[in-house]
Amino acid sequence: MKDKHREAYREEAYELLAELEESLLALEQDPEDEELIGRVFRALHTIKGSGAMFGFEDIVAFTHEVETVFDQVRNGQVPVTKALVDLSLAARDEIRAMLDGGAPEDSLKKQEIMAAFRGLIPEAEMTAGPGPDPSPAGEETLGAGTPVTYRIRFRPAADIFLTGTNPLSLLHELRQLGEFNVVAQTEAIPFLTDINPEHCYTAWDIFLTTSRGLDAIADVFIFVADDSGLDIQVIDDGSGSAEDYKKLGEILVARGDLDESSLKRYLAQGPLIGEALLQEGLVSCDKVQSALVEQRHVRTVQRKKQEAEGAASLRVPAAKLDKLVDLVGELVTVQARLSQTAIDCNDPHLTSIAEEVERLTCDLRDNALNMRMLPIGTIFSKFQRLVRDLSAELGRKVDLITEGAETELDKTVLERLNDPLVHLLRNSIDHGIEPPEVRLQAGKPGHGKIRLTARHAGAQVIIQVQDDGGGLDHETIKAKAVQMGWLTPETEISDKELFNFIMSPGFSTAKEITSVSGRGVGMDVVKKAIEALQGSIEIDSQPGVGTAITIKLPLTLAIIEGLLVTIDHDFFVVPLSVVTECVELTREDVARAHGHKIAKVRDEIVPYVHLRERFDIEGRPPAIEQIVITEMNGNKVGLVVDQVIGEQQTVIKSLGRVYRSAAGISGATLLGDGTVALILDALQLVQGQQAGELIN
Amino acid sequence: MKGKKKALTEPQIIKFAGDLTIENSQELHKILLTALNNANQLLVTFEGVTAADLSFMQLLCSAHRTAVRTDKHLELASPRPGVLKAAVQELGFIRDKGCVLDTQASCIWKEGWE
Repeated sequence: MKDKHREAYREEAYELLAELEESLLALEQDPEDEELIGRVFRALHTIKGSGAMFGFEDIVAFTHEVETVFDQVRNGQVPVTKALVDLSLAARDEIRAMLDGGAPEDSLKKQEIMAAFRGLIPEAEMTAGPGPDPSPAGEETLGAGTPVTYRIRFRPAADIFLTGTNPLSLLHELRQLGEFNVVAQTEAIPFLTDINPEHCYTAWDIFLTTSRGLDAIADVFIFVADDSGLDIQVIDDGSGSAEDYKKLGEILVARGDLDESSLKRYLAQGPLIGEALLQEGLVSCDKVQSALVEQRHVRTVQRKKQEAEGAASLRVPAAKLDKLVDLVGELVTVQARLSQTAIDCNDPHLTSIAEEVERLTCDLRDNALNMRMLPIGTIFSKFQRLVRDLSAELGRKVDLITEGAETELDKTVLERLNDPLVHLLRNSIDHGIEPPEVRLQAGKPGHGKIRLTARHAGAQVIIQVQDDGGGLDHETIKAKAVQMGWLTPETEISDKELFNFIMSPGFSTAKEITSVSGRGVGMDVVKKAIEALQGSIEIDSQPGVGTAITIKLPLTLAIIEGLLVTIDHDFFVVPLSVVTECVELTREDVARAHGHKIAKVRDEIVPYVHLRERFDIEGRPPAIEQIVITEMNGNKVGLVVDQVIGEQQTVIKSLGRVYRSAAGISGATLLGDGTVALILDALQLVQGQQAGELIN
Repeated sequence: MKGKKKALTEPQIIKFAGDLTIENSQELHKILLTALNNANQLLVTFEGVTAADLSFMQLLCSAHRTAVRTDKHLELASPRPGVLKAAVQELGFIRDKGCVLDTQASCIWKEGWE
């Protein structure tokens, strides 16, 4: 049981560390931002606080040092510098290592970081030492962890102006502590004939939500508390929800502005208690106003808190979701069988049930797949750090701009996308963005920009990595391609085709090998990884302007829309995302092409792959075959089959180990009657055909 | 601070400008008191106001209460300078409804302060 909790803590801590990293990087850009400082502090505080509960003593002791410094930063005693951010990022990495269990108990690095943090604190400010806070847990929670809402009733002495204190500055100080609302109580202001203009007749009801604790509030009133009326009450400890906060009448009763029996009497009269109380003059307008503001304040704070928590309201292990999607996949297959049986039986009752099941299965499938969708921003945030560290290492100045972080992708796709994107970003920094002096000479700003964007386009997600660097060098690439024997120097070749060479295995034009790139592995690995995700990759580049790499990916890999086709008695599925149209292929068409595998589709020449030949299927093809025309990376290629049956919900099943290396097949699926259909990997089929032609 | 009065035509306009703060509160008090004694309808303008504090809010509130009690009418003109709006908001004077003394439903803290 304890392990389960420790695991839950780890997961939460990983999220907090990601937030910590993000906040630190933002803080580096804007060192004065108090909200960011607060976020850093809160993340550290929670890591430490929860760590103590689950027995991560090493993390507690270590984080304590960092937290202490950020407490000082919060109080304006320690400034935010690049050195502090660097140190804090190193500390973040160390905490991560401790969480993973990879850091030795007393590693030198850990000791150095701790010492460095201690060195940042002035001697007098040093606390009792590392370890959990000595204060009891409850006090700690109320004191500086969870935000608590207070009602502060402040009635200054009449002569407060004469003591040189301006009540407005007290209110300003309180406003700095957190979410703040105030209602002036003006009942005591006399008529103009009786007023002493230098006296204070106003009192205030203040509503403040803060995690800074009672002491911080009391500090604001330290010089006026003796002569003033001051009452501070906790009205919400942060545990309630927005809907169940007190009603207006209950607030007035709780404050002692209305007695319980009067409330009951008014409640019996009708719902608009505020109006009724005012009309009767039982409670003053100021008090009703104050109660209303209290209600609004608490509800707003609670709603904000719920919204913040809403994003991660339920934590489910990913494996359970994967299992759910598997089961839904099975269900989709069974549903297809049911529909088929209903058609075969020609029974209207069964047909109606089958249709209902089909509708529900469809909804269930969409919902189950949606649950596995994660915003791409979860991996974007890691890249900020990568770009920062790499550009420093390579002496570049690079800003990473991300857009579309909210774009969602299937968890599996997202996990496998991380490495290719890291490669692309590394390439952009190492090969793309020029050193600052070169950029300035070229009339560009010294800071390079890399834009990492994601957006939805139909059932696909388009991800682009675009830099404003030097662009790809046509001549160097061509020379290298010639050197590798892929081209003759005379070959005329389009930019797009030329750029594709850089994704071939063994291609690198880097003059020196760095730790980052230049070893000729990278782009081919990226291409393979993207293709393994059923995606495609395109390069566009202009000399001196920059390079853009566009990746197109399917939203999910679990269930796809497919086009079911047959060759002889065998069934195949072509992913619908690559299909553009289907046309007929007659024997005359074949004869007209004089042995070349090309078809003329509306004046356009389209090469095709004859699948019956490709898969060595025996038997005679029908007189009229069908060409399924696919489009990948801007090129059209046909796949010739006997018959096109129609669209098919395809639950992808991976092939067994023995068949995994079969070229041109990416998986299999079960049809309604239990028959197996192979899912075609159109890209591989086309590439295979091209390779075959080259050999011939 | 200055507060100029126009001739005794109705409504009488009181033009407040400069610092409406505790240092000038005695003088501000006198201007409002005299104006309310001499006119039945008052319009207060704020063009050129550079600062305002609690003492002035209390005087305005008091003047309005006095006007209502003596069956006179006091109204605040727009536009209102940012410093004045900020002071009213920060001191918590804004109201959804007028107080029990506001029998004319003309509470000065209800509108025009956002």
